[in-house]
Amino acid sequence: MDSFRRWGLAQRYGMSVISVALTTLLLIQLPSLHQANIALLYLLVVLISATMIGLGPAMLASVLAFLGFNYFFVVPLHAFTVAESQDVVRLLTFLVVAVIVSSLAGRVRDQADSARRSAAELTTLYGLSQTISAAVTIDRILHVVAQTTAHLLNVPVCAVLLYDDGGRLAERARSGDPSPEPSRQVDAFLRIGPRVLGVLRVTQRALDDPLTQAEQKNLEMIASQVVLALERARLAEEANQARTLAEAERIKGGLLSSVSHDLRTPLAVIKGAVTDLLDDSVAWDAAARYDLLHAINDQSDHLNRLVGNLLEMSRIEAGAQPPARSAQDIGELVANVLNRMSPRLATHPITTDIPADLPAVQINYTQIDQVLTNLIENAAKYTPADTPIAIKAELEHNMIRVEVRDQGPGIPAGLSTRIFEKFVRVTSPERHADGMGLGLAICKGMIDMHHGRIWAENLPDGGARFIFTLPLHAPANRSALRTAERQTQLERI
Amino acid sequence: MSARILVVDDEPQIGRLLKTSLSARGYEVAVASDGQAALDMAASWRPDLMLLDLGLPTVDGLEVCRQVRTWSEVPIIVLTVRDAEQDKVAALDLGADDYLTKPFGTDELLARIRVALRHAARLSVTDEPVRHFDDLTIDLARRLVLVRGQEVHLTPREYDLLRVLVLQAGKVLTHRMLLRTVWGGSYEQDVPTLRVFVTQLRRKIEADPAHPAHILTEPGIGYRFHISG
Repeated sequence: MDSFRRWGLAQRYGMSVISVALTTLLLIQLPSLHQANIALLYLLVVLISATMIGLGPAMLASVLAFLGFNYFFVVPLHAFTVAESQDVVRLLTFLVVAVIVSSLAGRVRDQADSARRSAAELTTLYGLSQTISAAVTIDRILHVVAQTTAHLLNVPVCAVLLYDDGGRLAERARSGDPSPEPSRQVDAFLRIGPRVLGVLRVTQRALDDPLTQAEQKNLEMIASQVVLALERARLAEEANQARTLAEAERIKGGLLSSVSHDLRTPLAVIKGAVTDLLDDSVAWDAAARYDLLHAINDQSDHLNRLVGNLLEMSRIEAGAQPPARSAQDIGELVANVLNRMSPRLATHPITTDIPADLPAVQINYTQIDQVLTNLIENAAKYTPADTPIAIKAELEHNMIRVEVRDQGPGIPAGLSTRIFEKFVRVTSPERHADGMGLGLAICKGMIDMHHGRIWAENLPDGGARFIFTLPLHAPANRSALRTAERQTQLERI
Repeated sequence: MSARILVVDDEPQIGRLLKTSLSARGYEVAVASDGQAALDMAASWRPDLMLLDLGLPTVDGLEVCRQVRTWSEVPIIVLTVRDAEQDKVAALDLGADDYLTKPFGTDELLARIRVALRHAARLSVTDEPVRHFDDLTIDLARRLVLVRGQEVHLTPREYDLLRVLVLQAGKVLTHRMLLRTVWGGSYEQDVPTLRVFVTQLRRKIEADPAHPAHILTEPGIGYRFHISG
């Protein structure tokens, strides 16, 4: 039965003509059938064509059957005239019944057809909306939309075009290849309120085969689904941005509170001690006075170091010019740093392993002094008293490699890279009076300026080591090059 | 006997400074450098007052405050470097008496300590029904309020508010705490109502309502009934 559906119109009408003709032939061969039975057989044919072939062909069959009945079986035979008035009634009744039957049966068939079609469309659209609501990327959604639309509307090409940030309409997905022949396109706009986001564009099957109204409606429906998907993607994007922003705010808040804590703690000691000394009602003995003054002195130094670190960090961040370099002896630098730090290193035995024949290295003395100071200070701060700290330097290819090794608890898992970031500390901000988590970030900034490398690792037998490398001959920076060029020019003159 | 003060601060310099300052004024001082030690010493050493830093290792300052309050009414003055109002409010809500933001002067700290100790001493003789504060007299037994000897008429709510403030004179009371005690739990957030009543109360009992001498505002936090330190 389904095979009839794919037939063209001419074939279907032909079929109904043939079936009436065959029935007439058959009835002529059969002798002496009563007129009533003949009429019933004709009606059966009309009914069958109506249910199987469609409304139009069935109507045609009704008229043909009426004519055939009249011509072959109603007296006078072989003429379209009618002799008896009774036959007129019979024939007219037959015609009316045939038309009614065919129209009823045909309508039922058409309804069944359209129900089947819309069920298929609904399934496709449902599949589409499921794809759209699944959490997939917008490109994937647009791709599926193009394919589904082409399939559903039975068109060769479907494209989704969206306005990009520059306001240009750009194709984002397409199904089917545009043919070189002239074609006509139908657009459905992707609108949200007054704003047009883009276009859902399909190419007609042929120039003279426009989309039916139902197909137009489907196209609009798909377009509205696409708008929903685009809106959803935009909202998701915005939510994501808001989350990132909130996270950044939270980190910034944490930084501010930690900096404020670190700066105010020494201030609290200084202010407390000074107001104590200013209080006339207490007669401070020499030892107490010394204690208070000593605390003020200590904390001023500490505050100065913190402020210095903050300034240094902002200098590095602002991309200040790398300072002048000169040939320096690393062994001498290490000795100087250790000498200056000795009061703070009293509780840690220090060993050094530096070959005497280590070549000089092009560095900025103050900066590398600061790097080494920070690393040793950290080693002393984060390890238990009386654990040794070892400092080692060696030549490696054309680099000097310096290592500060401790026997403390090591670096917590996952932090060995992050500790070189600003404000990252191994302990939480409230726990330590010393430092703001800037020391290592400053080290990294300074070593970067020297085109060296700095990293940290845990040792298999406990403890951690911090290593930095310095190229013996720093690559000339641009300003140095320019000076050299100018000199050559001067020499030529 | 001199009062015992337990200093709880993880910054050794601050601990040392406070010990020097307070010992010089005749207080007996002990220092705890983390929350657990603070809880242990609060129980074993029985201080008369605690100076509590909020950011502490092991047990957080707020938690120390909460746990101590489950069994003791010892005055607690919170020390903090944080500017965030909510930390102070949280500590006061948990039963802390007062707060000081670092850096602070020793004179300021000593004044707060004296007020807190006086308040604590008053608590132990609560059966005294008539309270005198300069020109203001409150008879808690007869619900009478006299300003410079003249009786002042207060509405029941105003009287309740004044009574709560007076009973905890010297202590910082948060908006939330006052609203809960005087109006009930469902009014905890209704700070504007509290402001209106405080303004009315000041008009009736203060000599100069614009510059109150009795009901002092703690900006962003609450109110305190002033007693001279």
